[in-house]
Amino acid sequence: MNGYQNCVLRVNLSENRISREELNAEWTANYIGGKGLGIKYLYEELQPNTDSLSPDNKLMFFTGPFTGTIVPCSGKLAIIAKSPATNTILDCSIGGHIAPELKYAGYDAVILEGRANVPSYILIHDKSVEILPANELWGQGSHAVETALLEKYGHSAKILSIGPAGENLLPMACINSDYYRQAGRGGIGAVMGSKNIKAVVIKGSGDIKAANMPELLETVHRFMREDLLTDTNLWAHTDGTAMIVDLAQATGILPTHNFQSGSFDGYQSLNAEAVGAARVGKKGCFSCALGCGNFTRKGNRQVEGPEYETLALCGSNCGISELDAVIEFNRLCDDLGMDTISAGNITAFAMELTEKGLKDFGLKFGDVETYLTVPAKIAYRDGIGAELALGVKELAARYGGGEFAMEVKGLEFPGYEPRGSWGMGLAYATSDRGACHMRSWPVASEAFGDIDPFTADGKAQLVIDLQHYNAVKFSTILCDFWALSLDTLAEILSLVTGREFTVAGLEETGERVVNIARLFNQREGFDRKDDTLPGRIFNEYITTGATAGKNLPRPEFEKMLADYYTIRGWDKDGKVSEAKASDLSL
Amino acid sequence: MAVHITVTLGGPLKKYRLAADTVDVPPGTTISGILSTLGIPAESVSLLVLNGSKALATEVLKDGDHITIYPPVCGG
Repeated sequence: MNGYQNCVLRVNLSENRISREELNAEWTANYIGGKGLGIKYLYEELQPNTDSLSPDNKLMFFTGPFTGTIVPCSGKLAIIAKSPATNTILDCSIGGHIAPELKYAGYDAVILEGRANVPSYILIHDKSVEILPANELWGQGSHAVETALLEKYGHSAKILSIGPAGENLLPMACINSDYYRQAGRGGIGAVMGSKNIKAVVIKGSGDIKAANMPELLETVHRFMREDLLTDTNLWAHTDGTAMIVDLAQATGILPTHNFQSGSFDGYQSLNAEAVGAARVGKKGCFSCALGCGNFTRKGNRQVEGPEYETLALCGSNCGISELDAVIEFNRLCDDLGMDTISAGNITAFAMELTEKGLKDFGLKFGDVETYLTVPAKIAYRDGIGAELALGVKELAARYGGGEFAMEVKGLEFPGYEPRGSWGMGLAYATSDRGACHMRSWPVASEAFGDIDPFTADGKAQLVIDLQHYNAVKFSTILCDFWALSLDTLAEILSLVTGREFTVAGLEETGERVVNIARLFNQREGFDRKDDTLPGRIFNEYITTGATAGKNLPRPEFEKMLADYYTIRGWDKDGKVSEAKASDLSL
Repeated sequence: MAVHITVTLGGPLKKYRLAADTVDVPPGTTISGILSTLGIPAESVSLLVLNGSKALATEVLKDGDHITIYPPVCGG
């Protein structure tokens, strides 16, 4: 098949066995690659109720047909496993340059099984695959690991690694690459740590065949001019995601003080202008013409970011208006291998528990000194970190505060206040991996667009359409910052693969991916009872800013959810019917 | 008597900026009128913020107003 290497590398760590197999062609027709194909493989291969941190869980790395080609914004890698944070399906994506390197090494995907007997790393150099001891790397931060491996294997090597958080099996541990890029959510780094794998080093020297190269070249250049490098996408280059701080503040959805408010007095210290003033460089992923990455520096310490999610969750949500402090918190989390969205939420939740007298963690909104001690305490389970490492859901079970424990299915909230964007509430509740903004982002149409944010009407269809769009985009695999149409996507996909793709077919693929993910979760016991939001969203009114006086009334939420199930053809418990599964060839 | 307003453009929309950020416009000018004057295509605009709050393009500008115009954003 054009666009694919038609090869899956399977590494059984327990048995030190390395094998190669043909990529399942039937599944690529139905799921394309990346997110969709990875979820299909995990669904078929994982036994229900597998312990996510046991050797029986699998860690899968999937590219897509665009990976490694000239298609812009296609530099992402999908990483799939059962989540230690939520026990749901978990797929993350990571940017940088690792995905094309894997493809150039000759593989569409790598599947890790079992558990290495000793701390190890995997070296993939084209057909040569080795499992090597990682004794000197174990215990080190992600940045030091990447530097050591680049020095050993040369700077053309590409590396995935975990930090101490992954080694210590934390539910917010991430996988890093290119120093500052993360597959961040749901504890994907803990799955890698549970397999005793500190890093994966990849060197590839092959190439990828597209079906119609001359026309692909011409078409890509046309779309670059007319569809990519336009006002609609170039915000990612000029400002990056920090731009969203101002938009969120103006619309009252900037999480502040653990989502007690939707606006923050110190927002101007965290916005794109402030980040721009601290900027020392720019960076883009492989094949990206946008280059959304911003390097900022504090003293002699540098970070790529902070991105909006970090500015919001580790900034305003913790009451921190000092950009230097957020940069340092970001850098610590990156090096320790920890998701800033969850780390920021946990810190803010602990601050509110302390404020309300439910449990004294010694943390206070706006107190930089104690705030900066949190990442290391969590990563090493040191002192208060032993409890903070449990995550918001478990902390609430232990100390109370469930009403303001901002999580869904155990995954902490991204940086958008649902009381100012009701569709976002539905998106969090129905996302396949818990509270997530990457499955659908109705904020753009509601808070930042023309659709009324404060009505349940039409929101189910809006969220469903966006979920299908993102599911298919992340299966090809493209970055979400290119706002391309499905027409464009179908045209490029046809030229790369030689198969005929249509908009209707892609919409069906999106629906299929969402449904197979739902089936995975259903098999794990998830249903309607889990598709909900914390009490704060239903019962508390925001008191300041553009969303003052707003909540998301529970009956309105229930209406959106019921509409959502009806449109999806799921039953009243949110379960995928056999008829729907059959219709979609699941 | 002219209405004195300030216009801020977000991200890539800066290329549409006027000679000065603060300008005088005729009474009755709407935000939509400013967008036309600047030559910003409708599809290049998402959020309009007037004096810190979300605004509609039909709103009439008053003396001292500050309008910020943002392009569409995606992802998050």
